[in-house]
Amino acid sequence: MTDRSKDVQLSVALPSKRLRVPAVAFDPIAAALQQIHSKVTDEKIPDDFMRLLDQFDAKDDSQ
Amino acid sequence: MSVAATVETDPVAVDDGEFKSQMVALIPSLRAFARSLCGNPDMADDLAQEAMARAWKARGSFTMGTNFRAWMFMILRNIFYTTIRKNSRMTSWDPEIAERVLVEPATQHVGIELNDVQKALDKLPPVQREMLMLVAAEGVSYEEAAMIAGCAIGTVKSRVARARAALVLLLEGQEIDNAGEDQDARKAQLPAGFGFAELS
Repeated sequence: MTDRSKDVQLSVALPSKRLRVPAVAFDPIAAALQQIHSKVTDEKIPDDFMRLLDQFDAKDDSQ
Repeated sequence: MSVAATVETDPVAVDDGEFKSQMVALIPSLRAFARSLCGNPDMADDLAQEAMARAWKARGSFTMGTNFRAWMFMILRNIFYTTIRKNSRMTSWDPEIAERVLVEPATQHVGIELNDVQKALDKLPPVQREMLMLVAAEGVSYEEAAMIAGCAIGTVKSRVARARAALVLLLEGQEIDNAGEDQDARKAQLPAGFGFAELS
Protein backbone atom coordinates (compact mmCIF):
# COMPACT_ATOMS: atom_id res chain seq x y z
CA MET A 1 0.00 0.00 0.00
CA THR A 2 1.47 3.35 -1.04
CA ASP A 3 1.13 6.65 0.76
CA ARG A 4 -1.24 7.80 -2.00
CA SER A 5 -3.66 4.94 -1.37
CA LYS A 6 -3.80 5.96 2.31
CA ASP A 7 -4.87 9.43 1.17
CA VAL A 8 -7.66 7.94 -0.91
CA GLN A 9 -8.94 5.86 1.99
CA LEU A 10 -8.97 8.89 4.22
CA SER A 11 -10.87 11.02 1.75
CA VAL A 12 -13.52 8.30 1.47
CA ALA A 13 -13.83 7.82 5.19
CA LEU A 14 -14.45 11.45 6.11
CA PRO A 15 -17.80 12.04 4.33
CA SER A 16 -19.39 8.98 5.92
CA LYS A 17 -18.56 10.43 9.33
CA ARG A 18 -20.38 13.62 8.46
CA LEU A 19 -23.41 11.70 7.22
CA ARG A 20 -23.74 9.69 10.39
CA VAL A 21 -27.28 10.19 11.71
CA PRO A 22 -27.53 10.68 15.46
CA ALA A 23 -29.50 7.96 17.19
CA VAL A 24 -33.05 8.96 18.14
CA ALA A 25 -33.80 8.25 21.77
CA PHE A 26 -36.48 5.61 22.28
CA ASP A 27 -39.54 7.08 23.97
CA PRO A 28 -41.19 4.42 26.14
CA ILE A 29 -44.21 6.59 26.98
CA ALA A 30 -44.98 7.34 23.33
CA ALA A 31 -44.55 3.66 22.54
CA ALA A 32 -46.95 2.71 25.33
CA LEU A 33 -49.53 5.25 24.13
CA GLN A 34 -49.27 3.91 20.59
CA GLN A 35 -49.70 0.39 21.90
CA ILE A 36 -52.84 1.39 23.84
CA HIS A 37 -54.18 3.08 20.70
CA SER A 38 -53.32 0.09 18.49
CA LYS A 39 -55.17 -2.26 20.84
CA VAL A 40 -58.37 -0.47 19.88
CA THR A 41 -57.66 0.13 16.20
CA ASP A 42 -56.61 -3.49 15.70
CA GLU A 43 -59.85 -4.82 17.19
CA LYS A 44 -62.41 -6.27 14.81
CA ILE A 45 -65.03 -3.62 14.07
CA PRO A 46 -68.19 -4.59 15.96
CA ASP A 47 -71.15 -5.62 13.81
CA ASP A 48 -73.16 -2.71 15.24
CA PHE A 49 -71.15 -0.33 13.11
CA MET A 50 -71.89 -2.17 9.88
CA ARG A 51 -75.56 -2.42 10.79
CA LEU A 52 -75.58 1.34 11.36
CA LEU A 53 -74.13 1.92 7.89
CA ASP A 54 -76.83 -0.31 6.41
CA GLN A 55 -79.45 1.76 8.24
CA PHE A 56 -78.15 4.90 6.51
CA ASP A 57 -79.03 3.40 3.14
CA ALA A 58 -82.36 2.08 4.35
CA LYS A 59 -83.36 5.49 5.73
CA ASP A 60 -82.33 7.20 2.49
CA ASP A 61 -84.36 4.73 0.44
CA SER A 62 -87.44 5.27 2.57
CA GLN A 63 -87.28 9.05 2.15
CA MET B 1 -58.85 28.66 10.74
CA SER B 2 -61.19 26.04 9.42
CA VAL B 3 -61.01 22.60 7.94
CA ALA B 4 -62.96 23.70 4.91
CA ALA B 5 -60.57 26.58 4.37
CA THR B 6 -57.56 24.31 3.99
CA VAL B 7 -58.39 23.56 0.36
CA GLU B 8 -59.06 26.54 -1.83
CA THR B 9 -61.07 24.83 -4.53
CA ASP B 10 -64.71 24.98 -5.43
CA PRO B 11 -66.86 22.86 -3.12
CA VAL B 12 -67.31 19.38 -4.50
CA ALA B 13 -70.66 17.69 -4.11
CA VAL B 14 -70.60 14.87 -1.60
CA ASP B 15 -70.73 11.44 -3.14
CA ASP B 16 -72.56 9.16 -0.69
CA GLY B 17 -70.53 6.10 -1.61
CA GLU B 18 -67.23 7.89 -1.22
CA PHE B 19 -68.40 9.50 2.00
CA LYS B 20 -69.35 6.14 3.42
CA SER B 21 -66.05 4.56 2.31
CA GLN B 22 -64.11 7.26 4.11
CA MET B 23 -66.27 6.77 7.18
CA VAL B 24 -65.70 3.01 7.21
CA ALA B 25 -61.94 3.50 6.89
CA LEU B 26 -62.03 5.88 9.84
CA ILE B 27 -64.04 3.65 12.21
CA PRO B 28 -60.98 2.21 14.02
CA SER B 29 -59.61 5.70 14.67
CA LEU B 30 -63.03 7.00 15.72
CA ARG B 31 -63.36 4.17 18.23
CA ALA B 32 -59.86 4.82 19.58
CA PHE B 33 -60.47 8.56 19.89
CA ALA B 34 -63.81 7.96 21.61
CA ARG B 35 -62.16 5.49 23.99
CA SER B 36 -59.48 8.05 24.84
CA LEU B 37 -62.19 10.58 25.64
CA CYS B 38 -64.55 8.54 27.78
CA GLY B 39 -62.56 5.47 28.82
CA ASN B 40 -65.47 3.06 28.70
CA PRO B 41 -65.42 0.78 25.61
CA ASP B 42 -69.20 0.44 25.36
CA MET B 43 -69.84 4.14 25.78
CA ALA B 44 -67.01 4.90 23.37
CA ASP B 45 -68.63 2.77 20.68
CA ASP B 46 -71.98 4.48 21.30
CA LEU B 47 -70.22 7.81 20.99
CA ALA B 48 -68.51 6.80 17.73
CA GLN B 49 -71.80 5.55 16.28
CA GLU B 50 -73.61 8.72 17.28
CA ALA B 51 -70.88 10.74 15.58
CA MET B 52 -71.26 8.65 12.42
CA ALA B 53 -75.04 9.07 12.40
CA ARG B 54 -74.79 12.84 12.85
CA ALA B 55 -72.06 13.10 10.23
CA TRP B 56 -74.21 11.17 7.77
CA LYS B 57 -77.12 13.54 8.36
CA ALA B 58 -74.83 16.53 7.93
CA ARG B 59 -72.84 15.13 4.99
CA GLY B 60 -74.18 17.86 2.75
CA SER B 61 -72.21 20.40 4.76
CA PHE B 62 -68.93 18.55 4.25
CA THR B 63 -66.73 19.49 1.31
CA MET B 64 -65.12 16.46 -0.28
CA GLY B 65 -61.37 16.79 -0.47
CA THR B 66 -61.09 18.61 2.83
CA ASN B 67 -59.95 17.02 6.07
CA PHE B 68 -62.51 14.30 6.71
CA ARG B 69 -60.75 12.93 9.78
CA ALA B 70 -60.66 16.33 11.47
CA TRP B 71 -64.33 16.90 10.60
CA MET B 72 -65.39 13.55 12.05
CA PHE B 73 -63.26 13.96 15.17
CA MET B 74 -64.78 17.40 15.74
CA ILE B 75 -68.29 15.97 15.57
CA LEU B 76 -67.38 13.18 17.97
CA ARG B 77 -65.70 15.60 20.35
CA ASN B 78 -68.69 17.92 20.20
CA ILE B 79 -71.05 15.14 21.22
CA PHE B 80 -68.76 14.12 24.06
CA TYR B 81 -68.37 17.59 25.54
CA THR B 82 -71.98 18.66 25.06
CA THR B 83 -73.77 15.54 26.19
CA ILE B 84 -71.87 12.51 27.44
CA ARG B 85 -69.44 14.37 29.64
CA LYS B 86 -72.36 15.86 31.55
CA ASN B 87 -73.59 12.38 32.29
CA SER B 88 -73.02 11.30 35.85
CA ARG B 89 -71.77 7.94 34.62
CA MET B 90 -68.59 9.65 33.51
CA THR B 91 -66.45 9.01 36.55
CA SER B 92 -62.79 8.60 37.21
CA TRP B 93 -61.06 5.30 36.83
CA ASP B 94 -63.33 2.44 37.75
CA PRO B 95 -61.58 -0.84 38.63
CA GLU B 96 -64.46 -2.83 37.13
CA ILE B 97 -64.18 -0.95 33.87
CA ALA B 98 -60.43 -1.37 34.01
CA GLU B 99 -60.94 -5.10 34.27
CA ARG B 100 -62.93 -5.06 31.05
CA VAL B 101 -60.66 -2.65 29.22
CA LEU B 102 -57.52 -4.52 30.07
CA VAL B 103 -58.61 -7.99 29.13
CA GLU B 104 -55.08 -8.85 28.11
CA PRO B 105 -52.46 -9.47 30.75
CA ALA B 106 -50.28 -6.50 31.51
CA THR B 107 -47.58 -6.11 28.93
CA GLN B 108 -44.16 -5.21 30.20
CA HIS B 109 -42.80 -2.51 27.93
CA VAL B 110 -39.34 -1.22 28.69
CA GLY B 111 -40.10 -0.88 32.37
CA ILE B 112 -43.61 0.55 31.87
CA GLU B 113 -46.69 -1.55 32.43
CA LEU B 114 -49.36 -0.72 29.88
CA ASN B 115 -52.13 -0.90 32.44
CA ASP B 116 -50.24 1.60 34.61
CA VAL B 117 -50.08 3.97 31.63
CA GLN B 118 -53.78 3.40 30.95
CA LYS B 119 -54.68 4.17 34.56
CA ALA B 120 -52.48 7.26 34.54
CA LEU B 121 -54.10 8.39 31.29
CA ASP B 122 -57.52 8.13 32.86
CA LYS B 123 -56.47 10.49 35.63
CA LEU B 124 -55.54 13.21 33.16
CA PRO B 125 -58.05 15.96 32.43
CA PRO B 126 -59.92 15.10 29.20
CA VAL B 127 -58.54 18.13 27.35
CA GLN B 128 -54.99 16.91 28.01
CA ARG B 129 -55.71 13.23 27.44
CA GLU B 130 -57.40 13.79 24.09
CA MET B 131 -54.56 15.96 22.79
CA LEU B 132 -51.89 13.53 23.96
CA MET B 133 -53.62 10.56 22.32
CA LEU B 134 -54.36 12.47 19.11
CA VAL B 135 -50.80 13.69 18.68
CA ALA B 136 -48.72 10.90 20.23
CA ALA B 137 -50.84 7.89 19.32
CA GLU B 138 -53.12 8.77 16.40
CA GLY B 139 -50.35 10.76 14.71
CA VAL B 140 -52.42 13.88 14.18
CA SER B 141 -50.37 17.02 13.53
CA TYR B 142 -50.47 19.92 15.97
CA GLU B 143 -52.31 21.94 13.33
CA GLU B 144 -54.97 19.28 12.79
CA ALA B 145 -55.36 18.79 16.54
CA ALA B 146 -55.90 22.54 16.86
CA MET B 147 -58.65 22.35 14.21
CA ILE B 148 -60.30 19.45 16.01
CA ALA B 149 -60.21 21.16 19.40
CA GLY B 150 -60.93 24.64 18.07
CA CYS B 151 -57.93 26.16 19.78
CA ALA B 152 -54.54 27.62 18.92
CA ILE B 153 -51.63 25.39 17.92
CA GLY B 154 -49.74 26.72 20.93
CA THR B 155 -52.54 25.52 23.19
CA VAL B 156 -52.28 22.04 21.70
CA LYS B 157 -48.53 21.97 22.25
CA SER B 158 -48.98 23.18 25.79
CA ARG B 159 -51.65 20.58 26.58
CA VAL B 160 -49.56 17.77 25.10
CA ALA B 161 -46.52 18.87 27.08
CA ARG B 162 -48.51 19.15 30.31
CA ALA B 163 -50.20 15.82 29.69
CA ARG B 164 -46.88 14.15 29.16
CA ALA B 165 -45.36 15.70 32.25
CA ALA B 166 -48.40 14.71 34.32
CA LEU B 167 -48.23 11.18 32.96
CA VAL B 168 -44.62 10.89 34.08
CA LEU B 169 -45.53 12.13 37.56
CA LEU B 170 -48.43 9.69 37.82
CA LEU B 171 -46.25 6.80 36.68
CA GLU B 172 -43.81 7.78 39.42
CA GLY B 173 -46.65 7.49 41.93
CA GLN B 174 -47.10 11.21 42.47
CA GLU B 175 -50.33 13.16 42.40
CA ILE B 176 -51.21 15.85 39.87
CA ASP B 177 -53.20 19.06 40.24
CA ASN B 178 -56.00 19.27 37.67
CA ALA B 179 -57.54 22.49 38.90
CA GLY B 180 -56.28 24.59 36.02
CA GLU B 181 -57.27 22.04 33.44
CA ASP B 182 -60.82 21.91 34.73
CA GLN B 183 -61.07 25.55 33.71
CA ASP B 184 -59.65 24.64 30.31
CA ALA B 185 -62.24 21.91 29.98
CA ARG B 186 -65.05 24.33 30.76
CA LYS B 187 -63.72 26.69 28.12
CA ALA B 188 -63.37 23.90 25.57
CA GLN B 189 -65.73 24.83 22.79
CA LEU B 190 -65.93 23.80 19.21
CA PRO B 191 -65.32 26.42 16.58
CA ALA B 192 -68.24 27.92 14.76
CA GLY B 193 -69.09 26.61 11.35
CA PHE B 194 -68.78 23.19 9.78
CA GLY B 195 -72.51 22.72 9.89
CA PHE B 196 -72.59 22.04 13.59
CA ALA B 197 -75.90 23.87 13.83
CA GLU B 198 -77.33 21.00 11.82
CA LEU B 199 -75.69 18.46 14.08
CA SER B 200 -77.23 19.48 17.35
